Amino acid sequence: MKPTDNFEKLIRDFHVLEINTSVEMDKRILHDTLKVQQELKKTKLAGTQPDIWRKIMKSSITKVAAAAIIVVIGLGILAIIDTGSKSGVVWAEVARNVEASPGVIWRLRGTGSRDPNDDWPNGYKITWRSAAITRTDHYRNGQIRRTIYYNLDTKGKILLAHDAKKYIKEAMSDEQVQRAQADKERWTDPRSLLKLCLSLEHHELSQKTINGVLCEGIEATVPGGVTGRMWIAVETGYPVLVEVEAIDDGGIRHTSTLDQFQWNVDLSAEDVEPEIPADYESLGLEGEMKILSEQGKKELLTVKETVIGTYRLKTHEYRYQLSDGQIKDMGEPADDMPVYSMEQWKEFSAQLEEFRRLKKAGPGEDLDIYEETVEGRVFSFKRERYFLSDGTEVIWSVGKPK
Amino acid sequence: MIEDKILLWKFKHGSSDALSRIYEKYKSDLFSLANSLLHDLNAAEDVVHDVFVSFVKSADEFQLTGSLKGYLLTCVANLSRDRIRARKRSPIGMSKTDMAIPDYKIPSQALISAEELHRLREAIAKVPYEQREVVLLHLQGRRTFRQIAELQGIPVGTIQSRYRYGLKKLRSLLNGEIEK
Repeated sequence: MKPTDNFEKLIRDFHVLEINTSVEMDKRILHDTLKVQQELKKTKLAGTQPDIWRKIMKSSITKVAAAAIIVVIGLGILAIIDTGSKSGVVWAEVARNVEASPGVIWRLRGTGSRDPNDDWPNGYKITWRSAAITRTDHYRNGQIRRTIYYNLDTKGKILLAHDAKKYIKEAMSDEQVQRAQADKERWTDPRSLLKLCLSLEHHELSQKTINGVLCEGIEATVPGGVTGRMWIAVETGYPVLVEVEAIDDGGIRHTSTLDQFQWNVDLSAEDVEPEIPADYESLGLEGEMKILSEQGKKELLTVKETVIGTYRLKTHEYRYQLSDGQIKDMGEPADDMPVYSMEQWKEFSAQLEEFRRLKKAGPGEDLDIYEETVEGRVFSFKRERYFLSDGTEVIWSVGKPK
Repeated sequence: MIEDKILLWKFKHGSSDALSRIYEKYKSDLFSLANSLLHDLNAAEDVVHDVFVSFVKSADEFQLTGSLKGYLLTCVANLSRDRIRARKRSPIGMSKTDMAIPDYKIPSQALISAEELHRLREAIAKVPYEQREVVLLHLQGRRTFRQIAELQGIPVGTIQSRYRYGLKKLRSLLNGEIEK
């Protein structure tokens, strides 16, 4: 059966039509949208708001309401700064504890998600996080499926797909480093959640014993329908349990729970970095080869060049020795390959297709043999000539080290 | 879903981090759908760009009913349809995408050869737009028939028919049958 016989499954389950955006595209779109956002903020501050503000403040009802709000805000600030009067937990201290903790380990799980790609509700994630290191192990039905590890100090990333016995080990780009940094500000990070809860309007909950630990909690609500409850151990002043819940428009209740916390732990790279099992296969240039390539640890085997009219395709075939002993050969575009537009590629690719058929049918006209130094080594090149059906000349050359 | 609600709240309060995160989270889904509908990478980028700019401009009045991903996919589908109409419903060829077949996600590549993928994309491009839109929104965008019907303001039965005809057309194209 041809793969396309099963196209529904390919599109739906294997996402064959999914494409990644380019870094340039991301930059363009984000630049423009963030600019619009900034301009709108400035416009609001400079123009519209004061007028509206003045109009609203003319109302006597508003004046009374504003006074009440000021009182409420004042009480809220007091609640954050000095909750010790009602309970044993001082929230400002909790925030300091959490911020000062060199590393933290926690579990995240949830229910109600309808995203089929998500590990929930049958799965959970264990995360180890320090300033430089993040490792997340994804479990489903008690089995580990994925491990994702970042080290921002070494700018290294390891991904293990345990179910497929494959791995990627590669250097992180600057964008990936930024993204990993931004991950720490997400709601799934307990530090970020604590900050969010304390920044929102919140109220204290009565004491509760969780797994034998006396805790006190707060409940905060994000306008739009998300409620978070954070429970802190009275004795240690660290979060023990965080529950977040929301109900979607279909009436389905979504919950997320962060628990099994270990605070104030030292997480060294040696302890946290995952080992790559010997029988796992590397996912090509995307992984270890990319690192080796950047380090120049590769052997140039062949240089191939195809010149069709004004177009030129030049590739270098390299040999990589991977850490697991495997040898992989990989063709890569040469650094001096010209950049073509999509329209040009379209035309060139059609010519290349015809040339490949011609070449398969038989050798072309021998032109010459010459020598050239490539990447510090002398290569011996052989050139052949072909003609496409419309008369376009094709010069094909291949070079091997002498 | 919880993350989206928190992100939306932050976004509505002017957080550029939240906006960036929303973009990062859904960019591939949106770009993929736009590209599948339009078969033109440049036009797909324009659509995603315009959807996000409109999204930012409507931040103050924005009220989400349903999922954020669904909302953004709907915007992409609507804008793509406008672009297609602007082209006066001329048949969509493969003129701009072939060699620019961009960075397909790795796991997919292992399941289907480049040639098969090319055939699939070419066949999709030949399916009438109304049917293609339903097939892609359902399979790629994971929208239910009811959601698509609401999006297009037409009966669910019509959407289901379009889906069936779309699949039939695709199957015949991929099996090399003569087009009727």
